[in-house]
Amino acid sequence: MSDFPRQDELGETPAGLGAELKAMFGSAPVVREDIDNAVLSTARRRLAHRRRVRLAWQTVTSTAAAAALAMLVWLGPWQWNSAPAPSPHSAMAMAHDFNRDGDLDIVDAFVLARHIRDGETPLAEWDVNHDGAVNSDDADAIAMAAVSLSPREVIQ
Amino acid sequence: MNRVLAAVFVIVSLSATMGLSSRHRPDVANVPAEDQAVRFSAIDVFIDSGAAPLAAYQFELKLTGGAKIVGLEGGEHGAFAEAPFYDPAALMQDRVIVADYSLAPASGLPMGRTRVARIHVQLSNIEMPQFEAVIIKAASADGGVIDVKIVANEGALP
Repeated sequence: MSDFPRQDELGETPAGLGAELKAMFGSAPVVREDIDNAVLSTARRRLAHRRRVRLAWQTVTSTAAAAALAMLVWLGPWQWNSAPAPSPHSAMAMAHDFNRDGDLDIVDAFVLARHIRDGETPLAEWDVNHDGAVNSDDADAIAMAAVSLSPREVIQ
Repeated sequence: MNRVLAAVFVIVSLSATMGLSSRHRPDVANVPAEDQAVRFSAIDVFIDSGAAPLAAYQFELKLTGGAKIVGLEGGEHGAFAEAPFYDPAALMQDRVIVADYSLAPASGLPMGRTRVARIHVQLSNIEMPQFEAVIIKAASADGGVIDVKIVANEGALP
């Protein structure tokens, strides 16, 4: 906001001031109409060019934003899915955690193998590979699950 | 607003580029033969169960620096002489989980320090394999979990 008063706030020009200013600087130059129109036309062209540039920039940025959004959606499942894969150990732990320590590991295979070796009455969960028989293959199935590098490999 | 959108686009594009490049695997088959200085070595893994008989063990071995697992064999004690359990998918990879158990009586199980496994590795363009072995679980003859120490050394090829 300018500190200077607007023209309409100045009121009447003091008497004689206008004449003195005209004497110092002369009369305002007369601009021919064709020159005035040429200046106006040039100004309009430049303004139109600026509008076109601004519109093009908006189009580019909008397209870029849409592309970025699409890329986010496309990469999302692989790149930013931080949810841990289901662990075979946690999936099997409830049924085959024979030593009840919360982990599925070689000790569970060992404990089951001891049960089988000692001829204990088989429980349903001892048939780990679901082949209808309880034997060392079931202990081996737990051992293989314990060493599996694939978190999605789950013994049903 | 336009500058913010442009910045988002640049950041996402760079992130995507880095993410895609991180999933890239070098094509070993296309590496010129003269650039592949390949040799083989073995890593011996020892477990020290102290005074407790070792009936079961499970550990994880991680390799770094370009070494790859090419094979596994059992330990020095008869109770663990056979090849241990491991995921075949670990072959030609840099990580393996190894485990085994023995139903031998306590008198037939190793005590103290014993080599439980030997892991054969392929070294490409590196002199020494770099690795780390971490014990996951060990148990004595009665099935109880025991504390053990694990040590891995580069061993001599047989």
